[in-house]
Amino acid sequence: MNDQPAALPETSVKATLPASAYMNSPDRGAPPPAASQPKPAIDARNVNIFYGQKHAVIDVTLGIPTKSVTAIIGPSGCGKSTFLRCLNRLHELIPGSRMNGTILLNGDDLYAPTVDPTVVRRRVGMVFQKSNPFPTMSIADNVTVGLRLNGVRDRAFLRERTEDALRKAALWDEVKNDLGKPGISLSGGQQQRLCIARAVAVQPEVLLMDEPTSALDPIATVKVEELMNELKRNFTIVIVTHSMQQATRVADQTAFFYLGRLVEYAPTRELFNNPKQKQTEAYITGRFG
Amino acid sequence: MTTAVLDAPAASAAQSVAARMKPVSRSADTLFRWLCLGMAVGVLALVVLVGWQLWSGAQSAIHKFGVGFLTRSAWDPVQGEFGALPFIYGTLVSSLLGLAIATPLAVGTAIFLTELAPNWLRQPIAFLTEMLAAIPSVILGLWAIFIMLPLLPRYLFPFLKKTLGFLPLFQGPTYSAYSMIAAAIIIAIMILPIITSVSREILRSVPDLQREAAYGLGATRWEVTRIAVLSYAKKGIFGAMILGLGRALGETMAVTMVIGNTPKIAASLFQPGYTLASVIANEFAEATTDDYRNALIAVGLVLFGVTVVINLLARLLLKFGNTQTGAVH
Ligand SMILES: Nc1ncnc2c1ncn2[C@@H]1O[C@H](COP(=O)(O)OP(=O)(O)O)[C@@H](O)[C@H]1O
Ligand SMILES: [Mg+2]
Repeated sequence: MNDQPAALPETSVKATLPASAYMNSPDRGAPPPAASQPKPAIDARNVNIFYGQKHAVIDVTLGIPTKSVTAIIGPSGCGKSTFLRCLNRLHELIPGSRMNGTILLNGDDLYAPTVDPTVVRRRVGMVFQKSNPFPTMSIADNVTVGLRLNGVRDRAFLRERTEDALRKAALWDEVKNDLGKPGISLSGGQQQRLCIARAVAVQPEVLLMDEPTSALDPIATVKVEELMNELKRNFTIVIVTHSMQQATRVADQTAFFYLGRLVEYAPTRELFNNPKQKQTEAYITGRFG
Repeated sequence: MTTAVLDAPAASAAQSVAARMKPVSRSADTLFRWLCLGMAVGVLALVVLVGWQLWSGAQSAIHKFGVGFLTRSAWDPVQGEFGALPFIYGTLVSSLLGLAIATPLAVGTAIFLTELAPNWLRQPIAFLTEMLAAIPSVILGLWAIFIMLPLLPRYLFPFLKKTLGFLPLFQGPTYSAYSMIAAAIIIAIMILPIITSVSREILRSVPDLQREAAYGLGATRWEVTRIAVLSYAKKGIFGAMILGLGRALGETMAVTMVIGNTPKIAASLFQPGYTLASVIANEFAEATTDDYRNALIAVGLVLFGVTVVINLLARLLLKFGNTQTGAVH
């Protein structure tokens, strides 16, 4: 990251992106051209996020189409995780963080003063970079913990949801005879799929994944990627990845972040084959990052 | 930049660096290793020595009183009757009760310090709790005699009688403040700092990733603490309790000042008692006969044994205790 061009002023983004009018434009928040859905699941407008003095995400406006996979790529430190975490208000846990702007989830303002962040997180699930099952809980308990937190007690229903979530996470066949074993007895890739099952068990509207395969071996990575293609039939997925190959494999549309700004956002193939921004091109051709 | 140009100076530099370095010497390494080994062996030897001294010092008492020493409850030096049961009872009851009082306070403080308190408040509170440990035992005992004891029969005892009076533990006369309860409270105050600071370290060692996992599911702060933090840390907290219990068992000065020093086993916690440590401290100077003196050494051996057994039991529990249970139900 040494000889990169300075961040482009927003005006030039607008000027050079007439086709991709869903970004930083008067009718911002509209879904990208690929999406056939009329309304985005997540509609982020003019989002700014600060850590103390540090301006980590700068005026990002982005619409995320429903039931599809949206990838966020960019060099490390460009604000991908920060932006992702503000979609379920997880960044609020960091003392000194501030956010302004608007984020609508299926039309509801996630940051309205009356909204409880715990409710937001029940609607927007999260899978982390490192798998983090609860070590004192069994596999089944790990899957149902979100439901039990929400007061579900009916055992038959919990069993049914356990199987459903584990099937959705492509883990059922591997663990169906070991549901009582501790979650941390599984392999790394299985643990990550267990975390995916835990997140989907509460049937969130959106599933956020922050570099979910960066700690996995190639085979486990392929499994998780295949899983995303399955999951997008039921969920809206936003994935942060540092692997451009992964973005091309899983994402319907891709957003390129650079120095806290959204530089370009387009259907994945278009972004990689025909980038409109010099910075995007420089990044995807490996000239920095 | 060709490699030829680089090669020559690089090679000569490497040579001169190597020439300047001392030949590898292992003597400091060896010395260091033996020194450490010596210290480790020294500590071990000290434990064995103390154990053996107690054992051999108590031999004549063991011969004279036999195993009955542990089960007899009469302690009358004038008549030559020596039974350690009241002290064993007093030590276990006051320590466990003290632990029961201290643990919720300590763990609550630790949770407050790691999970809830704003950053600026954490250091001062942690410092104050640790300061508690710096108060000399005898000062705490004096404080208890002048401030705490007068309050017990007036407020605490009647309250306990009213609320828990159906239990034999909380029945009987309450005119004297010197009691098992007073000892337990003092012990609780004395072991609070260690349990708090160890628990705090344990809670701090819970990975943030665990907390985020729970927050990410929409857990509230309390739910996060319960399912992600406490269940992850419960073994460690149990370990902290055992450390505290170890201290409690041997606590002498302040306990001697408030427990009433009466070698009787009373069902009521309002009654005075006696502990293994207190009776040694209290009576050794006036132990005039050989039997008396030997009996007190045997009491010391019992205290040593109780401490070792409790620590071993705790270790076994930690090792084989089943913690694979769902934390939310
Ligand atoms: N907890 C934090 N406190 C202060 N600054 C932070 C914190 N987390 C991230 N940042 C800063 O915010 C910027 C964006 O970070 P992040 O969103 O983690 O980047 P990415 O995920 O793209 O690698 C970085 O410059 C980083 O240094
Ligand atoms: Mg990141």
